[in-house]
Amino acid sequence: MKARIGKTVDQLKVGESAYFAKTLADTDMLQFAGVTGDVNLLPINDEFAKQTIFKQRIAHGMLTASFITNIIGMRLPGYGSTVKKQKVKFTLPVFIGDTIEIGLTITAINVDDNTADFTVQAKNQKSEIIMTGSGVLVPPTPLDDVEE
Amino acid sequence: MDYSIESKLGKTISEIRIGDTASFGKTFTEADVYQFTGIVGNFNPTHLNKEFASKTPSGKRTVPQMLVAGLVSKILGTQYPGNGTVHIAQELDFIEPVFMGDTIEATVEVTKIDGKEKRVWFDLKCVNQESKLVLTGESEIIPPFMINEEKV
Repeated sequence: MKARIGKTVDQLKVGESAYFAKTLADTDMLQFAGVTGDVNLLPINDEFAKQTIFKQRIAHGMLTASFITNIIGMRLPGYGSTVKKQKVKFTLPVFIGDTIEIGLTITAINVDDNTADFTVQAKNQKSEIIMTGSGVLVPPTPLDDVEE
Repeated sequence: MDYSIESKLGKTISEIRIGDTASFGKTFTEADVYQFTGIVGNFNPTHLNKEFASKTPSGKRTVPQMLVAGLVSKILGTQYPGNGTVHIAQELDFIEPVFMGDTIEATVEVTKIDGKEKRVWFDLKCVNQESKLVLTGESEIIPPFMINEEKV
């Protein structure tokens, strides 16, 4: 079986971007709560959420942040990538039914370290910025029997 | 419906002290990894494909880093401060890979409180069963509060 990997460090370009967008559903939040154990009532309980400043349930910040790995692991750089550091800021709440689009841009490449710096910006359907971030990723290194 | 969140709220800002800690540990299994990759839609073979993973530097399938980082969300959202906590920012430094079968203990510690802006900062440390540090970080949150009658 041949293994396919994403872009190696020498194939990345500064300024290159990739995107991931989805409509956030109730099931995303419930499944995230289940798998992480984060059953904070704010994202999962309508009656609780109604009495908060948000008036309705909001998504776990870490759920929104987790979608960044969809870009890194599948698109840019892709298969075989890992993350070294990441920081995110949740600038606005995300509600059920919101469509979020996350954009990731490569801002610097360090061939010697086999790392690349990236920034992240996520918007909702009203083009409001809901999350910003940055980090350092490790692109895949060639495997023995790679087919690119 | 006579539902009041007051008794359900986690710790409000006046109940939070610098130096307070909270921990949670769990063993990460294949089930966790497969569910999480499904929810997020991240089918990176480093997490899901044994043959691929055997040819990478880690040698075996790794637990998604954001799933491990989910431990901080669990602690802040359900233990300390608990229900009603709003996550504002998160820094993560991934130090070592985590593998299926590893037991990771996450601990948060209150490092800073801004009573005026109602913000609290935590340090995060995650260690594996060999006491090896796998993940560190910093969290910024808004602790739980009630809209009308702020339980401060």
